[in-house]
Amino acid sequence: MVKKIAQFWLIPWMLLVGARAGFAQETPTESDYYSIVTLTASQSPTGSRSKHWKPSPDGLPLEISGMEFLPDSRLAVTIRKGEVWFLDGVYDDPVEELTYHRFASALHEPLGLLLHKGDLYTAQRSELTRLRDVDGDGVADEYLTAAKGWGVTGNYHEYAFGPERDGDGNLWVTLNLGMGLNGDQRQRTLADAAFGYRQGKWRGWGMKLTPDGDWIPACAGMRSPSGIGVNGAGDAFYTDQQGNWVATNSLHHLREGAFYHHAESLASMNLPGARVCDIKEIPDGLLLPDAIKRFPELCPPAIWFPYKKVGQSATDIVLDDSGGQFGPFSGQFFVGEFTQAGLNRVFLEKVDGQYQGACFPFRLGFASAVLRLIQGKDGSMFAGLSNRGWSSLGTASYGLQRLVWTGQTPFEIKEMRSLEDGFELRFTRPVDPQSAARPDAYQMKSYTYLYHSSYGSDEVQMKPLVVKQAIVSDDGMRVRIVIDGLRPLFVHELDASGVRDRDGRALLHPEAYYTLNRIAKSKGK
Amino acid sequence: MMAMIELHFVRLIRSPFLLCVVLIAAPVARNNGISNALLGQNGAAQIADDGVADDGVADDGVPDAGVADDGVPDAERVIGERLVQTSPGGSGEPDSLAPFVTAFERFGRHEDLPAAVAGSLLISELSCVACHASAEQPLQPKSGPDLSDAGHRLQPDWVRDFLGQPHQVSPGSTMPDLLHGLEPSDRERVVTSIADWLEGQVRPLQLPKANGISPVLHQFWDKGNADHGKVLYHTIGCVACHSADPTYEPGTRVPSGMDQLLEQLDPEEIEEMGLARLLRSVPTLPHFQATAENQLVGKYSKQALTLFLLNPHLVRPSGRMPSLRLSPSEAADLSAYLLRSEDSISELPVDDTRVGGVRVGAISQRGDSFALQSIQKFGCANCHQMQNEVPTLEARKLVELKLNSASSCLENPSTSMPKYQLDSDQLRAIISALESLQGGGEGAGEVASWAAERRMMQLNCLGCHERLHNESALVLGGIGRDQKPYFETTSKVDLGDEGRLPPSLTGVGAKLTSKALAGVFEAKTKRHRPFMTIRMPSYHASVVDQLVRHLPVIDGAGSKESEAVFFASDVTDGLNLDGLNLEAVGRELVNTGCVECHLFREENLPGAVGVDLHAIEGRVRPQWFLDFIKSPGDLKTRTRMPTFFPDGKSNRPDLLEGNVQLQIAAMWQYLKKTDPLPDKIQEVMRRDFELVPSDKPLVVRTFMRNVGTHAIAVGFPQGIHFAFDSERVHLEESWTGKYLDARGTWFERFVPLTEPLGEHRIQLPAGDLLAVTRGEGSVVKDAAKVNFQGYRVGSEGVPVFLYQIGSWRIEDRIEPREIPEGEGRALQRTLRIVEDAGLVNSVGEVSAPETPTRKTDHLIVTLHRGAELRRQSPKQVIDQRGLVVSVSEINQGRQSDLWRLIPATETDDAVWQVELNGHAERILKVVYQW
Repeated sequence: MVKKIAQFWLIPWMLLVGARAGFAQETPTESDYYSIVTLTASQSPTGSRSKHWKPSPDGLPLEISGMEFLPDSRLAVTIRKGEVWFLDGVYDDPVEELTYHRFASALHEPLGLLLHKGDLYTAQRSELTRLRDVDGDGVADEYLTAAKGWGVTGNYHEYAFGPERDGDGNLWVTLNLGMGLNGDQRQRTLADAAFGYRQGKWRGWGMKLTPDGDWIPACAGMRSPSGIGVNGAGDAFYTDQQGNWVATNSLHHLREGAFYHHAESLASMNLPGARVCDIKEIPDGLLLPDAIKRFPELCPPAIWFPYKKVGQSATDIVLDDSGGQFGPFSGQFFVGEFTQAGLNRVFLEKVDGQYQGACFPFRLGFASAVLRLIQGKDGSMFAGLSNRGWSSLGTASYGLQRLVWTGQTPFEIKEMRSLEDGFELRFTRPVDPQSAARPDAYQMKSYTYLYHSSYGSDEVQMKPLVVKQAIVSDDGMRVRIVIDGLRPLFVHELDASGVRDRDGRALLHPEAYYTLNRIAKSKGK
Repeated sequence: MMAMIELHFVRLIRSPFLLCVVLIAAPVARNNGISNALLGQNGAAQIADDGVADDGVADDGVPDAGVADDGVPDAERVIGERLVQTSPGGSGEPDSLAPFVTAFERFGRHEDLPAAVAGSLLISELSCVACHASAEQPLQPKSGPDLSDAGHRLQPDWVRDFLGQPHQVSPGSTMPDLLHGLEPSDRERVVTSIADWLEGQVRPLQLPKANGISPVLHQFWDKGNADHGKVLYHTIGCVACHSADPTYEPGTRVPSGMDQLLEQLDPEEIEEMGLARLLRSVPTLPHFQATAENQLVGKYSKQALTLFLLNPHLVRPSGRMPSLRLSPSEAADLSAYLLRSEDSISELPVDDTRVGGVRVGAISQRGDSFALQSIQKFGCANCHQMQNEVPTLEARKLVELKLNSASSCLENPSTSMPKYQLDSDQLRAIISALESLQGGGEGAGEVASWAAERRMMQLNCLGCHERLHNESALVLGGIGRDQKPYFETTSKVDLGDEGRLPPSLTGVGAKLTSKALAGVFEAKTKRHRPFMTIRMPSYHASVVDQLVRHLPVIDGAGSKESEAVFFASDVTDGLNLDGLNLEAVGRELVNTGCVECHLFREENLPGAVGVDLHAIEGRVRPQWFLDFIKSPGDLKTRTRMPTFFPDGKSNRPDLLEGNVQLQIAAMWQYLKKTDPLPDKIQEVMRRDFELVPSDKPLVVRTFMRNVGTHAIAVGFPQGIHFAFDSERVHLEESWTGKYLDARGTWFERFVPLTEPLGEHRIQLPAGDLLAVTRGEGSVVKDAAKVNFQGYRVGSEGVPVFLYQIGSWRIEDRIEPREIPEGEGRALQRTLRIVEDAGLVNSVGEVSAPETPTRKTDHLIVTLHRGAELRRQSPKQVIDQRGLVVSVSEINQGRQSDLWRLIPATETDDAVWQVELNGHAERILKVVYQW
């Protein structure tokens, strides 16, 4: 069962990728700081949305849908056709030879992988499964049901993602809503669902398996919750994707009793065990701040990812837990991006006990849709790719790439924190005090979204903001910008194109997008 | 007199050498009027000044044999200029400042076209009819770019430079110099005011839609990759019209078949064979050259060029620059390549204090109104769309133009006339066209025969495709010899020129159905030849409407869309067509030939990349299909398509009595739906996706039609397979032979329901296998729910399902059972039942099964269920379908077990079950045989 697949079958397309990477420019680019190593990337002979999709005729269809490191530092991956493979040689650069070993098969589109109490866990379409190798021959011989009971009408959107383990030892699984159910599928929806919605049981819910074995429908309102991640404090988060009821992609704190956006998940609200219940009315077509007033259960996301500006389809969440091996962003989240084939970055802080923060563009140029992320022992980020079903920039259909910090520190806005009268920006390198103290080095505007049943929302109530003052700290690492007219529950968009570092260089990404649910009381220093 | 002049003219044009002689003798000739008509000295093709004129040159008032504005006598100019520029055989070398019309350069200068045709091409491309009205469809003006969003698109400095010196700034531009007659200071004032005014022509940007299937980066125009753009530029078709970058290394080094032939011939032979045209290099547009960096940098921003490349029709509705079907990122890549310079700018600052070109605020009101006056005076709106309604100029109608004027737009324009900088070839051609138009006669008929090709030259279809012009028997066009190496077959498969160069358009109107012909141009039509790097551009319907309507007529398609062509009576005589399944025969024929090279509904044999033949009747006409299949080489020279009917005979005499035409009809019939796919293709698909258990059982979790969304299908090497519903914990269905095709489960987005591939399908007894009853007095049925807990891979790789009900734990092993041949087929199920063993596995469930009271609970195993059950022996029961269930062994069986055969009632099926007594481990072996 061990296959050796040398890299010679890399398709000619990859030459293009090489050419891209090698394009020399005087202005530093993302690739000067973070380089992409291709472990494998393949091109399907059919389009990503072809009804007749088929994998490349060569090699394993490595549509990576889940990743976990084994204690021996091999990388375990699930692939969408339903198998678990162990990959060895993933840290080689250049990639010499990857070896593949099949551990498990016959899974139904698994979309996550977690090593938990010595066994691998994965969410299939119909259940959370625990894989055990009892006889120690390196191949799973038990496929045990760890949790189940959610509805599967057969609609293709009904993915189950996870699991991820939070700081309390709970395993989280998120359940995609069904969309556009056909007649056959409608037969399998809940009878007597709340609000008359046609959905399978627990669709659009976040499910929590406690260490005691309780399986709790903890939170609702999810649309396409394809990524789960846990921060340094042990709190779990998920990403959602723009669509009906979901204004744009978002990042939410997973917690019991929370309702996020999508009303149709409430079909399961009246079932025994539901932790979101008793919702009487769902407003449709209000501005987000007004909707929250009318509908207090509605939890705004910790982060809105403004559409196109910070991706089009947020996927996996990974914490930089490397203590600096991945550059200056230790403790921050990196979020996968499907459509634009990239990674975005997230800074979170707690204001009034609730998470909120800013997101930043980070790195584009992966070979295909970034679906899964995991951090390696050397701090590098492994990206599992698969674009099937939708569409993505890039030249490949699936594969595995690795993002490696080159050791050069990019000039970036590392953190953006809320203050009583503005924001504090923390940089990765000292700023040039002259440029950074100019208020016009910062262009700001704020906007919010509509909470409605339609697909996505424009940025509405857009208003430019005037930066009155920019105060640079003595060490040049921080700038406090003072602004009039902060609006809670609005995204505050910053363009700091005017800021220079001490070598006169501009920011690698001058943009930052702060989701200001609450204005902090802090005055800053 | 006129007739004679025309005669002369035609002859003269055919013989340029003679022309020179005549020109030298011009002073004499002029006296008898020849030169006036021929060369259009006095007032020919002049823009009438009505509405503009303030310089006093009114064409009507100019005497026939006059002196041009500069005072140089006409004849001298003729000699002085023409002789220098003209050489025998056509110069072939355009004046570097002369307008560049690709097809004129390629064909018009080289006697490929009658002069009147070449001239008419110039008349449309130079937009003469924008001022000199004409109803002639082919002469309708190309017109200039739409300027209503010029503020977003064009850099003001460039506009100023261009308006001041259009031919110098943009060599080859078809935009005439309208300001040549102004004093420098006036010129400066007009240029500045117009440029300033154009800055205010701003519309909301039309950005491409972004969603999950359409990646669009924020400000994607800034994020292009120049290296990738360079590859695109040289491979998708740009270099068919625009010049290539010498630093780009073309991929193909194999010369095309024709070029190989040419290389083997010596020049004389080539000349004799009439192939000299093929040796000429194809001229490419000079005003943009990929070789000279930064030409566009001063004109466009990245944003403007990227958005233009994405949707050229929006700015240039004439379709001369078509859409190359670029994605937003490809457009950005191309733009990054074309604007590769540190000086290129991201986007133009747009002055939003001005709306519709009018500045808000008083200061520049005067400037704006002067600009509008100038725009009107110089007739800008005759060619350009703008947001404001600007009056256009009307000049003398084309048919009424005097061909003997001393001063005209063609030559010696007066101060109020546009200056085109025509060279002598161009001038001659236009005069010829005008004469032909005004005089009718010989030229007119000739011009009419070029209708299709002329449109193809206007749009430069012939830049990529070749086409035979019937009347002249000339094959024109095609990718130029120098450009051919840039175009490749994507997969590097060797398909010859057919696999990398656009197809010939000879007779295309008789080949494609009208719908397919229209579809070729539509943006949404899928690429028909995805194996080529070069792309068929898309065109707005209004641009190609004439071609779509007229080509079938011109190419003699007639009404031959009818399938009757296959069944002409002389073909079918003596044959009984009734009851023939043509489709099935066609499928067999296709399977023996076409599949080797072609795709069918995107499926193919390994390495086959030819066009997809599915839905053939939507694409080609029956008559063409018939002719082509009979003898491919007759319709497509040098095609790789072999003939399947050598000497007109079929190599399958066993089918349809070997009747060639009927066999072709059968293929046609099959190719309409290609359902089911050809056997060979199905074999490949099976090989890739059919699961064949060879040494061990194979398991697939999937959605199945009769089983549901929690199906676990297990296939066995013994050829008996089953599907288990892990939601209801029920053995659902069994079948034999082929197992499953996994493609839908593994790779299809819509996760279709899987169906067993094999035969002898049987539904196993319905209803719950296990139930618990509680209590001794009053019995509580279904006191516990069965709970699926997964499976374990047991010996020989057989999955053993694990579940729990009440305090019982069950292991369920299902596998084929060998029975003597002729006794049907059988599955054996081993149920190991253990009570009170503790839970092997904790399964999270929202509503956990309740804990039963053990002492009074009984486990009931329902072994068979059906409308009619009959006991064959104490432990064997058969149903009305012939499914026999037997319990062949009971481990530690007890007298106290209760066996029941409950007959059917009006509402319930008959049931055969056993209530187990006692609490020790039990093993039931159940056999299903059918």
